[in-house]
Amino acid sequence: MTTSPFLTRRDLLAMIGKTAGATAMYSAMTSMGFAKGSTFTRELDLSDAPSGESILILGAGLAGMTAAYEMRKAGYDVSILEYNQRPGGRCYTIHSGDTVTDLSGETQHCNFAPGNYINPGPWRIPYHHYGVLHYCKKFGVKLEPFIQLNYNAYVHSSEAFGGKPQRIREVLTDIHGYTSELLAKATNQHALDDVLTKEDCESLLSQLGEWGHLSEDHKYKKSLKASAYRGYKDWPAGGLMPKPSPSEPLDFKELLHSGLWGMLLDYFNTSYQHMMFEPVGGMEEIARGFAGEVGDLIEYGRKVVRINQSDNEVTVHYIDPDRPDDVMTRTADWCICTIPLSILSQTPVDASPALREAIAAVPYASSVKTGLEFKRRFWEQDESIFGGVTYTDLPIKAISYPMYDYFSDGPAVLLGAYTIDDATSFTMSSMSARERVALAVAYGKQIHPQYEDEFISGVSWSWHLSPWSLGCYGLWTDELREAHYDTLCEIDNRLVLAGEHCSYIPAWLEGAILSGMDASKRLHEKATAEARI
Amino acid sequence: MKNITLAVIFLGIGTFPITTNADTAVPADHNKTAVVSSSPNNNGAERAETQGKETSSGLAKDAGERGTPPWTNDSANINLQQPRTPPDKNLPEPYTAQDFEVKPEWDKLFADHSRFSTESGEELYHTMCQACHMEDGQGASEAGDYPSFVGDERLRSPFYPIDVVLNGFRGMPGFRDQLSDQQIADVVNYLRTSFGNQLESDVTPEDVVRVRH
Repeated sequence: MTTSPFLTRRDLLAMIGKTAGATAMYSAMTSMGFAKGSTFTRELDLSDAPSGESILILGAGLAGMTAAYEMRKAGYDVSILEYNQRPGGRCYTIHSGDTVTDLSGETQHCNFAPGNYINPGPWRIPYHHYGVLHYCKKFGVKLEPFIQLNYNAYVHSSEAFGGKPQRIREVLTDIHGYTSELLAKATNQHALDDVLTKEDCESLLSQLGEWGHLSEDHKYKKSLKASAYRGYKDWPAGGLMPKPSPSEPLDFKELLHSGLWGMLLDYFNTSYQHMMFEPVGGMEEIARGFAGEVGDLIEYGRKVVRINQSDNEVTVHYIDPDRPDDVMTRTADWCICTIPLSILSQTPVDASPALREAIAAVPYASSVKTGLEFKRRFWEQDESIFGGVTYTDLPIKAISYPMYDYFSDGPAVLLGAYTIDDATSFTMSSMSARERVALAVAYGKQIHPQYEDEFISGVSWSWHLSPWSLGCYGLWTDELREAHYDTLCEIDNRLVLAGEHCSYIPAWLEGAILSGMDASKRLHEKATAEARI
Repeated sequence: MKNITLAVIFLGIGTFPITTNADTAVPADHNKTAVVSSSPNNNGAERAETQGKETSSGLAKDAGERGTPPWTNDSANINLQQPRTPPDKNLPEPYTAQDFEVKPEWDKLFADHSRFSTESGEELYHTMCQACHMEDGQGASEAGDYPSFVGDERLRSPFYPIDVVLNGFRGMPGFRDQLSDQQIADVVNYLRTSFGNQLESDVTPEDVVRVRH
């Protein structure tokens, strides 16, 4: 870069500084393994379980239900203890008519119109999360496209362009244009001659011209050519309507310092590349799909208070939370425990010191989502935004528009705030749900001024206030993984752990499912090997 | 003794009147122990048992006739019932235009997404620690616990809370990258002098430096 006279070091640093806020999270996510693909290759086909052997599964989330499904198929006597009164754990949807109470004691009644909902946890499925897609297909869970990148949605900086949100198509086209112009200029001034031949330079200039919609003299400027990508002032029409006219590109320096460039990255990470999917009717439909197969194995309202094991069996002590003095026990040959580490680390477990240390080592992330219902789909009707995600530097971070029932009249729900694992998320968790809803409207109306008139009601969910998970997901670092990950996943005598925390895809359904499959496979290998002795 | 009737909608199967006794409803001071789906009628099977034989047979036996959806078997179906209330019931207090104005303190709190921007220990507690340990410092208890700070012996040595805030403990994340030494000293001093704790407010940033490595 030192050879480029066009981007000064100061410009470059300013750009990195401005974009760091938006991208820091994503680089952190990548280092946590978020961006890694699924290793699912094919369905498990376990069989010939040792006769009469039993498996007790703790937790009826997706890891537990995956294990239950596969292990019953293999021939084990399977049962599941679940704390909640429903299957799915964090694969969860707050529907119209639901009542939720969080750890602070605040109760919210979801007053959304019938059929409307908010997914407070997982909400989108990448095309390469093969495990999730496999079971959805198998269990008849209907999926619809999830729109991550809608070119007509916005990126928004409260500081730049007078605080006016910018269409993604405009920002993306202008960035291609301006960077192409600068690179063409450097090429023409022979700044790249030490790495490129004359033929290379000609080829590069030709493609930069196309990619950046540059003029003959390699300038990015107002043109019909660029408008075909960024959008027109007057769009092509019919009859004697106005002739197509080009739109004005954004000012380069303002764009450079706006932070909008960095926000675009969110659309291109493999975790969010199209195609993405969501279940019709809410994420919880996946839990229901699994429960259709293994629901008869689940006992609800069971809080595990102790896990003991000997060389011959596992004994789980549990209570009905409404009758805490009445401790019950259940024994089994094997145990698959999917209880979140935020809770398991407070539960006495007979296990090696190394495993207990691993269980206690992983902190749980903060995340908050707020759903808002409006009287009408003004984002569609006024702004032609059909699904997709708008990103902003405001504390709400994102607005995601509903990707179902397009063009319908009547109330609709959008995701009005989504924070994850930063100071903003903790501060928002410290507020009441009522205040978080007000906050989502107060900031969101800077992007959509219609908010205030059209607002009906809202629901907000903080994962640190979740009574049954005490946090959102296992917050691994490279150092923690090095020290504890393998131990956490290994079978300890007759006990094995599973869940998103036992995966390299934390916080995603796929991590939970792959972990449930892998734990099942290894436990089955051990059980059949021991039975042969 | 006043009886109230809740109409519970079962996944479109129809309405199902439940009679419960208002006097046996969860008392206000127990609300922290309420779980998601906290209504007393959130388990179809258990409720059916307590509501008499007619109800029980209606719920548990003729799932096929009730049109149990194909995605579930009967046992799972019973436990999938969410306590649905009609959408127009339980409306919260309406918001006012003033609620939808950005409060000046929000601008300060959210000035930097990656670090906490508040200065006093009290402000830090109520915009950070409160997310789990609650406004009154009493923590919470459900599937797991958030510890209480009320009369907390573990605050006696300042180095224990400093270490926990810096490095985290069990499920609690550490805040070493999001707080300055001064902020950590301030919040620890706040803990040591609040919630019934009457310890010295003498923790300094230098104490934090000794633990931060």
